[in-house]
Amino acid sequence: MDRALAMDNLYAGAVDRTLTDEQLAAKARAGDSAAMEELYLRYRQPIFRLVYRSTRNIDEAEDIVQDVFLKAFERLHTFREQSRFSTWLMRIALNLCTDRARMRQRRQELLEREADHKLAWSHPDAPDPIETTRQNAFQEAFYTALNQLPDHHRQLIILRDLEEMEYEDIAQIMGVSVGAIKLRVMRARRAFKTKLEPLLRAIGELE
Amino acid sequence: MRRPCREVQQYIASGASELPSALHAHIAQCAKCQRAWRLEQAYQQSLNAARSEPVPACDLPWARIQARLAEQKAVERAPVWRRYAYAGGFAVALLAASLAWLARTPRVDAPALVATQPPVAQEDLSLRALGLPPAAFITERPVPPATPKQVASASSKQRPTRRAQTGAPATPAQKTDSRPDEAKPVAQATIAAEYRPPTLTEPPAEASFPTALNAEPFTIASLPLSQYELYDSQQVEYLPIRYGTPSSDSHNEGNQNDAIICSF
Repeated sequence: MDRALAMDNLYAGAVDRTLTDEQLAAKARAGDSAAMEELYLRYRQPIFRLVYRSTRNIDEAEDIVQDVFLKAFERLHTFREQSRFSTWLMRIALNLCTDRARMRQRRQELLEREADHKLAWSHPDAPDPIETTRQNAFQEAFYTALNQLPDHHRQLIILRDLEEMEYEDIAQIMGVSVGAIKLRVMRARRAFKTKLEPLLRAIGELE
Repeated sequence: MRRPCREVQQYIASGASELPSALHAHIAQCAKCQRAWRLEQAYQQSLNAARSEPVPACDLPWARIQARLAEQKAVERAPVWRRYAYAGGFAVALLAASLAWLARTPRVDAPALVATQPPVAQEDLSLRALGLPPAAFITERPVPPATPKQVASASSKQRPTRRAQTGAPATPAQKTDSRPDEAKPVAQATIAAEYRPPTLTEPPAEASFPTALNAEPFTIASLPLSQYELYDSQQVEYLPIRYGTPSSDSHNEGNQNDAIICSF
């Protein structure tokens, strides 16, 4: 992984890094491969994090990230610069996540957390193993409830509460007004809590 | 809903982690608000736990994306190239078929062309084939005596083919109809010179056909005369012009639809 990142950083010097996303997008639209690479390096990790929050599977998340950028570069001519490039990219990512989630739902496959990753992600300096276990229980409950939500609610919880994005940015991504987004986030939280409550009761975190 | 309950709901909706002490007292008394507040705290706790979960770094190299982009471009290019190839192949095949058809088909379109033209035009074609001055040949065909009205109308009609071949300037009668009295004698003379009574049986004036008699069987309008029966090989040659298709009843030699297009 580190080697791949190092190689990417090595090759990414072909384009001026002070250019804005929109300038890079214009260059990429003209077929500039270096501009495409710079855009990819800028948004690979944020898009991956967003997708990973939704899928919680590294391989699937990487596949989606790849599809996101392929689709974005393929349809760069449709990017009209009315919104920011990042929000446009996140919109593509959320749409692809929704598609994947539907496919997954059709196949009736349950995603399981990979044991080795679980170990790798735990804090090495966790003070108390009991506290770590408790944290993991909260995470499990959280993501279980999250996966039970419909797509539009789940996306809002991820964007607003997990990624802590601003309402304005979410409104741009969703293509609606800020007021509508606030209302939707409130509804999504209410639905999420409805799902979360029995799970927390089951693990003894809620009386 | 009472006012403190509404305040608790507002605090919860705003995502506050702490409540004012006055509301704490209310929560201790109100079971509904107490439940909502605990649920909110559990939600915040699980949210923090989820946020604290480290997200692994994306290990997807740019080379992989680049390769996929190149694949996509190759796939996109192929159909366009193939489309041009198909179009070019079709055009070449069409051209080859057209050339083969033209090379194989006998040239039977010339009689049809001749048949559709008036006799004067047919004569002009034959004269052009002989390489003789057209003014020396005048088709003899029966023309009833012209009435003054016919003469006037004939003089007013333009005959571009003959005029163009002879190169004679237009007569005043042909130029304008505004003076019919002056045009009449000239028109009558022209018609009389051009349309003589039929003299099919009289021998041709040899002086006016210096090369035609010595000529080999020639082609009129791309039809060799030797193919057709000569009724009088010395003096008259008839070229039957056939109307209709070979399958039709009228396509027979000697049919009344046949026409004489040239006689010597």
